[in-house]
Amino acid sequence: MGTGKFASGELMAAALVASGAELVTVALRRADLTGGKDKFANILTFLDPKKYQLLPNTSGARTAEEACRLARLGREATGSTWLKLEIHPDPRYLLPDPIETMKAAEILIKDGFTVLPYINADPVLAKRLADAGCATVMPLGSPIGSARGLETRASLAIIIEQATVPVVVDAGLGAPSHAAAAMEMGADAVLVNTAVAVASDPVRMADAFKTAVIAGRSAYEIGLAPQRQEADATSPLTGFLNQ
Amino acid sequence: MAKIIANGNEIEIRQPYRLSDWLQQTGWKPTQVVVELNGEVIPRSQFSNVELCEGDRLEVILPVAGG
Repeated sequence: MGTGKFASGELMAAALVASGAELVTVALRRADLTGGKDKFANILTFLDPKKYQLLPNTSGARTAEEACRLARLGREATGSTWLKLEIHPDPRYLLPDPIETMKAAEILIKDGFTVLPYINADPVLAKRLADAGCATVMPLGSPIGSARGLETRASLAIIIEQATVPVVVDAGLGAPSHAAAAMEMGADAVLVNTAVAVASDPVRMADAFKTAVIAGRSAYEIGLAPQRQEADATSPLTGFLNQ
Repeated sequence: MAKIIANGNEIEIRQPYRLSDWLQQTGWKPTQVVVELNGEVIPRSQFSNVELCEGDRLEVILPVAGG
């Protein structure tokens, strides 16, 4: 789960519990040095590090160099070497830059980070990042916060089929059904934030996503019925009416 | 007096001034923030060993909500 956009820290904490999430992302920003009360004061106050694996992100970075700088600050701030590597130079669509992401991943892996890169649903890039030593790949379903679901479905299927590391579908999941669909396809996890945080009842919505993820995972493990062009009757086609 | 840049703003400080003392004056506890001095992350355990100098560039960062 992401921790952004919640109305309060308390509500975020309650939604995290309801979601069953194990990994939780946090961001970094400049502290207010004027001595005033900072309403965004340290988010870690609301996150028990014994309950969650913290995943500081590099949001705001536009280049590999900026991402590496944020990664080191995030590690010091949270004590976590796990990192959500995200580099999106364009604020309108927030699409990740594949070249800068690859460069940063190589540097940060050497530096001892466990790198979880946010990427477009590009199967070749996903393979290159996994081969470079990334712990997962995190392809987007649709742009961050867009709630449009699995617009990249066909490419996600290739990434999942070829994966040698866990695949986390990140970004754009607007409904529990989107999360269930990703899990049915064989994704190992989903990363959700906006859909829960902006809901009228974030705690119930978090629970709805949890249920959807569990259902989708079960369906994947069991295997779905094959799709067919023609109908296949579920009731006996009663012959006597025509006799 | 010396001029330093803290979070993008130029400020004047008296000297000598230890990083830990300056931080305390801003209202932040060392455990709440992470500090970058001239591009290098300073471990919390070193805050009281660092003297601020003319032209230093400080970034004081804290973890916040984000996705």
